[in-house]
Amino acid sequence: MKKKLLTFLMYFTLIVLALIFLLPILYVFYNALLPYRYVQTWAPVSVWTLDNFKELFTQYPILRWYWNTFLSTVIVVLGNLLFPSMAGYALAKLHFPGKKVIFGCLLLSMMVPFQLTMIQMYIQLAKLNMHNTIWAITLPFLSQTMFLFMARQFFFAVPDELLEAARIDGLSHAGVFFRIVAPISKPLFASIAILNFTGTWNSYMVPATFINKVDKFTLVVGLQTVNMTYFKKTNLTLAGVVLLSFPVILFFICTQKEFVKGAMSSGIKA
Amino acid sequence: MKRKLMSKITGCLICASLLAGLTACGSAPASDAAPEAPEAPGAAQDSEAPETTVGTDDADAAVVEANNDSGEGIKLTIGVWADDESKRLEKAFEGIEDDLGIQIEFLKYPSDSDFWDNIPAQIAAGTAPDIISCTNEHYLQYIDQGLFEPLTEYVDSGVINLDGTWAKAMDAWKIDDIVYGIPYALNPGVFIVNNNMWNEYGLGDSYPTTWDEVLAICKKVKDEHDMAAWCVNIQEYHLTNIALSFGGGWDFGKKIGAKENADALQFLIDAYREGYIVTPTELGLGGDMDVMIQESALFSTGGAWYQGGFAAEAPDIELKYLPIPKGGSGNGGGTCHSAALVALKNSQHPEEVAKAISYVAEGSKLYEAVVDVTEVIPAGEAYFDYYKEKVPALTELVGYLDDTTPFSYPTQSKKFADSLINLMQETMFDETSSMTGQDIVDQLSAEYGTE
Amino acid sequence: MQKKPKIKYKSTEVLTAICFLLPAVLIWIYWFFIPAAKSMRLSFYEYSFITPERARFVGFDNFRRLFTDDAFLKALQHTFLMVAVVVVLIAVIAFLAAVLLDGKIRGKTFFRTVYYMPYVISSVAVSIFFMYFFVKDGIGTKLFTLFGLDNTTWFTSPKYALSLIIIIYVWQQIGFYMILYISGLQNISAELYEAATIDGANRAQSIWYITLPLVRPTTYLVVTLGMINAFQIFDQIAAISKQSPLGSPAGATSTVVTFLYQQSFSYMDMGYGSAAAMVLLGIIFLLSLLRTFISREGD
Repeated sequence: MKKKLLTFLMYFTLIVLALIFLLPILYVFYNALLPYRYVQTWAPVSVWTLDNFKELFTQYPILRWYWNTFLSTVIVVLGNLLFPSMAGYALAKLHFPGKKVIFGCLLLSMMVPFQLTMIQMYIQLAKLNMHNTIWAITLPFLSQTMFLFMARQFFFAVPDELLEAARIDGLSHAGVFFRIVAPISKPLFASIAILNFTGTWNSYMVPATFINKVDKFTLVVGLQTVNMTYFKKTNLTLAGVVLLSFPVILFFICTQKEFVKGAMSSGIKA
Repeated sequence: MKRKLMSKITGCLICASLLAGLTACGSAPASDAAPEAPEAPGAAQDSEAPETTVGTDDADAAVVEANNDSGEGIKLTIGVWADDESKRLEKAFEGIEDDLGIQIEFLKYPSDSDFWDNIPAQIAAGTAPDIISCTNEHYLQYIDQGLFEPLTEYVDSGVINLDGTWAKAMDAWKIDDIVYGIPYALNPGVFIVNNNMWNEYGLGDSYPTTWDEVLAICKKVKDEHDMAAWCVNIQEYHLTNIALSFGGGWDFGKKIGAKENADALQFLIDAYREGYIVTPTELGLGGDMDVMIQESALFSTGGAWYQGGFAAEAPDIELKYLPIPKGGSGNGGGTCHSAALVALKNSQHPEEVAKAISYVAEGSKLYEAVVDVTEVIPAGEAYFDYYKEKVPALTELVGYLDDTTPFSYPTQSKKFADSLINLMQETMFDETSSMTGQDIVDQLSAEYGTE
Repeated sequence: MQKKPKIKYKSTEVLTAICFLLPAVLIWIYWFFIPAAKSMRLSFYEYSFITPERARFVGFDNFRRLFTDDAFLKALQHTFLMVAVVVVLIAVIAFLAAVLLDGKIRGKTFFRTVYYMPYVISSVAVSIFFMYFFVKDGIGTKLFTLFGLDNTTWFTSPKYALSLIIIIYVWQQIGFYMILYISGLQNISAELYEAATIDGANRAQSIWYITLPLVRPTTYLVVTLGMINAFQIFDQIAAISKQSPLGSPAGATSTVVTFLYQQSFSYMDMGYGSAAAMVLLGIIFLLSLLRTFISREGD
């Protein structure tokens, strides 16, 4: 009896939370279906329309922007799966002098707002003639400190016995990481992939600052250009948001399967 | 303790070795991406600007967009943003490559704020566009910064011909006898009435010409329909229009503290307290035009851009474009936007920039694009009739021009505008506030006044 | 923190560590450290990128100016208030959500996706919803009047605007931290729970005695990242400020980052903006020193 009540309570909480998270999003989707004059009102179903989407696809190079976004996101995510996790592993599990100093510097650096460094970054990019190219929005972001931090915290949980056993079996330190630790760290890589994919896909300030050519725009930036000087087309923007979010949600659904329970403990037995 | 020190020192050594590794690799990440710009100090070719080495690396600033693709003519870049404005400039510059051999490339920014926020970085990096379009609202702060290249010499030497440009617009762009921009479009502030609602509510045949009459209508609408009839977007454009209509205005900081300005703001505050005014944010909407399109208010201050928006989104609503009503002693008018082509500093081809500007401004190209694409009044007086013919709905607007005044914000215009808005928000939205219009203009005048 | 035994470093291990760190650190130095150092140097100058030739060394003037600038002090206050509230809310809600989603439940993928979705949607779109529902007589506002709050438009009210930002921010960010917790929870082996159940522990007890201690590295991560990110709240504020100045109404939602942005970009006072960032950094640095100090004392 008690157990049933508990299960009921659990599902009740889950559903209430789901509603809180879902309702605003449904509202956004709903507004994306409305002609401009009905935005933010309760409009009858008869005026709902897909015209906003049609307009976006016919008037603007959406597919081109999708491709740019996709390409830059893939490059950045690949970089962030590799570099920060290596560095995070070194900081968590390898013994070398100056570990704390390096980590402290990195941690502190995360507190510097991006708005502060942006201009200097742009000047550096322009010096390399990389502004207005895909490199401007990928190269500087290939190794993000936040994921390094995440990796470090995750690798703390890897039992030392496992690493020592592998070392005794004759693997090098690099070998231990790539052959033993990486395969059992799926949850880490999944979360880096998900968070970094979302962040890069949606990032606005970076591409808006570093890229000014229409055919090099990412989707987020491109969708902002639909507005008039004194007239923001909210409904088009919202339709754009739907187009924008859809691939990320799909990516999430596919990737979250990698949150596998007990990968770590099965690693120990092996 | 000693151990600890040792480990710290080794740590620093490792960091240093990493740094050394960095310099050894040079800018390794770049090499596969693009041919690296030569970094030797002498290689910074465009040092036509005097580079006094102060502050930060001006060597950085001397970055070159090595565009010397030999043989191909000269390439100019034009910075554009909003959809409508970029379309009209694209149209105006069509054909310049065939006629002058100047290639034009458009650099697009997602919005005007993105442009203005990025421009410092781009000037510093040498990647800024050569030409942009700018209105006479916040231009003073950029002129003060030296962002705009003076065009006087080209006007004097006849490369750019300004005859026929509407005089007031020209005045706005000529500061201390230096020409900073070539005005090409005019946009007088207007008082916009939703005529459908006006008739439906039976508000009579004559439209209001003073703010007191507007207030009387507001009262009637409030009593009969329980709605706030007047939409006021708390924004510098609308506030300035109302200040001017009371006979006030900022006059580049000389007149901020004037009684007329205080009266205008106080008038707004009182009307808001009475419940006659609705602000777009209170409806959860972005701007005044959204409020008007949804018919949540009867009138608002605005400009010719309403025409395009309503034609596209609410063609059944008939609008009436009136002159800004007069307030107080009543000799005011509204504001006058005048968009101008502006040359940015540090361009590598100043001559061609002047030629390109004159190419579009001289003939009919730019003026026709202004009318055809955006339905805005062209700055050439000879084209007023063309406008009236093409945009019959807005014919009256040409007549309103004579009563208009430029915005004339003080030099720190953005900061001034933000302060003005903040003070108004504080007074209107905080019911306990006892601040008056006079308090607001006094505060502003203390900070920005130049009298 | 226990004292580490003195270890001798093995050269192969140190070498591997250097190789592992090299790419990340190189990128960090070139794309973060150098730009950041250059920007920070500006805090001692009166500087605009448009006219570098007019730059002037002013020493600590910018800092002196900051501490007499009411707008900055207000922004600082908002920032800390927001960080304090946001971090607690985020850590608690994200942890609970992750635990709920970790058990054997139907529709796990669905719930996970839904909880993550707010993080995917852009702040601009989200603000449109919240602006509409928190107007006077709006649904959100009505809901909160049940708790004794005023029926007023939240984002025009200097009193409530900051709370609205916090609500939007927390709502949007939960998904992010939930992912961190979900990933961290995977490291706890199911056997531990089984053992606990056999020993007669109920669900709440096993969360308290097993889950919480074992996800401590994740909690440290969540709290630290939560703080760092909360110090930099910007998008949500920009989204509800729309055409009005950043931090509207009347500066009620200004933070150090919006202040920095306004000074550096809108008003082109780069040096002053950089100085504001430096002050924030300095404060955070002092706080973290204090924290290490206290935790050491506690040992």
